[in-house]
Amino acid sequence: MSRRYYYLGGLVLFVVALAELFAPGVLGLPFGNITAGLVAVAALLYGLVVVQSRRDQAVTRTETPDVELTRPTTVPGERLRDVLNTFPGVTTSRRSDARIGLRGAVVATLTQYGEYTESEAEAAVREGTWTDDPVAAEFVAGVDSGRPVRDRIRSLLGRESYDQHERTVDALLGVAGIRAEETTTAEFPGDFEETTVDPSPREATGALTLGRRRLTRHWLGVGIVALVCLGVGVLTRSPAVLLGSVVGIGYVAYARAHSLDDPGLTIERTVEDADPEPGEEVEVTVRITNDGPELLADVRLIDGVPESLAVSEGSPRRGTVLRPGESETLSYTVTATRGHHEFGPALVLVRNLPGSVEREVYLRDETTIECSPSTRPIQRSVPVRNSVTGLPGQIETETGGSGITFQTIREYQPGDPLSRIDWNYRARTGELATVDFQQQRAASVVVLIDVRETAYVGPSPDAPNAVERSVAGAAQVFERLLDDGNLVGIAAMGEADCWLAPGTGNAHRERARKLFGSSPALSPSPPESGRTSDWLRQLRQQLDPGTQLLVFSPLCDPGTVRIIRDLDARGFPVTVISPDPTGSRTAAQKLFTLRRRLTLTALRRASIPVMDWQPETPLEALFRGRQS
Amino acid sequence: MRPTTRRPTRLCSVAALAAALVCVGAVGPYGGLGTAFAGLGVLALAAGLGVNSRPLVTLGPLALFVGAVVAGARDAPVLATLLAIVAAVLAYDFAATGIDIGAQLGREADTRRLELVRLGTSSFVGVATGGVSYLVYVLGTGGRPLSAVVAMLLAVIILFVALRRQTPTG
Repeated sequence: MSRRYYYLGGLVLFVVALAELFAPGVLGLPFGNITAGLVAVAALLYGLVVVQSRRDQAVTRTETPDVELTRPTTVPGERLRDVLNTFPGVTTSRRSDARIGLRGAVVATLTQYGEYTESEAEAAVREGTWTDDPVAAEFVAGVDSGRPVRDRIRSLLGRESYDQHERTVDALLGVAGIRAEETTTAEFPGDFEETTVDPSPREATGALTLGRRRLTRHWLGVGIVALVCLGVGVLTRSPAVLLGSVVGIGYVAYARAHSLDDPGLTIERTVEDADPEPGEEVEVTVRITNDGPELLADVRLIDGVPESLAVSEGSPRRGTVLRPGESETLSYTVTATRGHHEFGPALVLVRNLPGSVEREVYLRDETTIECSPSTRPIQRSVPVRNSVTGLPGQIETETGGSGITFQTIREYQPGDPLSRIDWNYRARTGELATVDFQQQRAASVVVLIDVRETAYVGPSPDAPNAVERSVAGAAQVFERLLDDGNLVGIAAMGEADCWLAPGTGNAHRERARKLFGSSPALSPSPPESGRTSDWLRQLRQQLDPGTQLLVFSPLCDPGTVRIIRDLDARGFPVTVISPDPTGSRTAAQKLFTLRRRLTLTALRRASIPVMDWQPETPLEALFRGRQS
Repeated sequence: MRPTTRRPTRLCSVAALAAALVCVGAVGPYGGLGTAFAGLGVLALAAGLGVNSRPLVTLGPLALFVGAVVAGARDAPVLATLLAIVAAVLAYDFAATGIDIGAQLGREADTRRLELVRLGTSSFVGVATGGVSYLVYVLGTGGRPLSAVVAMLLAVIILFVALRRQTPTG
């Protein structure tokens, strides 16, 4: 209410001033030099207020996501404490507990690798005999009360040096026989701005969702120009400076003159090929149209490129102006990779003409790219375990019968086929004998791929994550197992919806290719919503007795051991192929390498074959010399 | 696969520097403190565009503006002073717009049309208001009574307070 009076008073004074300017003395204003000086000082003081508000309120703008890039792979072992807590019997909470945590890790490692009992390991830690490194030995031994006071205070103050952690972890790797080599993987260039979906859409009508509206404060403080010019102009009696205030007032008015109505926008997105081969360049064309009645003077478009696709050419961003009814087209190229890629909503930032108000708009046009690679079967037979079905196949069993590989000669029994009678033996001895070959049988195998959150990790930010490698490997193995006449199925560890029952035939092969290529469960980037938790129970129900499991898992979650041993014990023989996701840049990453190695050892101790699949190694090389 | 170059766009940067140079050019001949401020302003603006710093591209034009006011108070002609003030405001607008567009869209995107419209309208506002005030100066009577100026000043302050109560944009 009071604002209106301010406006009125201001306007009246303005008219009076104009009158005085063109007809001096008519109104007989009582303003002398002193009043002028006071008012000028007031103007300058008010200018200070404006400057202060500018300093208080930073300029705002909507940050835009890095849609051009694929999400960088997480390297397991972000924080030392988190890794330490995964060791059996270790719980740490504060930073100063790292020493205790590391001590627990040393004991756990010694009991696993060093043929120590628990008490022997404790003693070795106390006496520092477990390693040659005096720094590491002293650091871990120092947990006991016998250590110097100065040391204890340092620990209390959380002043353990990073170097001590590093040395201890290196010494631990030495105990476990892991070479602590420095990898020279390049750091990811720049920070990755997460692709965000509007957390709180204000209004959604059809494909358009209106997001936040904010004042950019771009022109905040431009009033200082008017106030300073007035103050200084009056004080110095300088007409030039005084007139400058008109410019300042002009910009203040400009900044406020334009409001921003809700824009009417639509987009239309077309992809050149919605079903490309991996590595193929796919052109994406986006057409944005202003359907509203207003001119949109400042339109900034950032297309919702899927997180799993990288832009190879062109830019998915555009800044433009759209008259009513006008449209604009932009195109860019993405490189197709395996998987089901869904385009997110395009983010459009609309500003008014002076740029003082900004509105987020999300425009949706459902677009997907599905890329199912045609996989070449692996060149070596897959080392599966000896659990077979009654069907003939390629797996050699202990049971004698018909086949190719000689097993033994035994006494003839009525009913043995004539083709297997050893006639040479008959000629030599006059007795009938039967040759037994190793029977070859088919197995029923389910390829089980770990897709839990913990599996989306890799050795460096630009390396493929373990799920990607698992799916690629599983597809190759699947083809080969199928070629060898086995019944093969697919399941996901951590997601119940992904299930293909073991089967054979070309239709089955095609279904599997589709699933490997574009099942959302096997997506190359982690899911946004949580996975179904009931997958394990459902899997056990779905599996026929005697079905083998070929598990692809990076084994990042120590709990996986329990799951695998449980499945194995329930009569589903398990073989594990584990893509190695560990990096070795930091102490925490190295410690994670060790933790995973302990997991592998725990599985092997339970007589479960585990193959550690290094990043550069092809599966063929991994299977060499592992034929069962 | 390369990340977006989130740096001030080229067109806006060039326009901002050009505006700053115009300001220096208008103030320069009148020497002294004003020129020194304006020179500092150009350097700060250039540095701000170089390191992508919003505070620097705000302080730079502020120095340009101070330079223009000082020069105007020390007998620079009205036209030169007005030109310098408009150029200082534009230098800020162009540079800040360039930083914003660079941050949101990056240098790889095609933003020419957007930038041209922004540069055009801001320049128009400056030229129009500068022109109007120059016209007032030319048409006004030689006396320019102090009482009129003081009344004008009060009017503006009151209007400002009214506007600031509305929204914090000005």
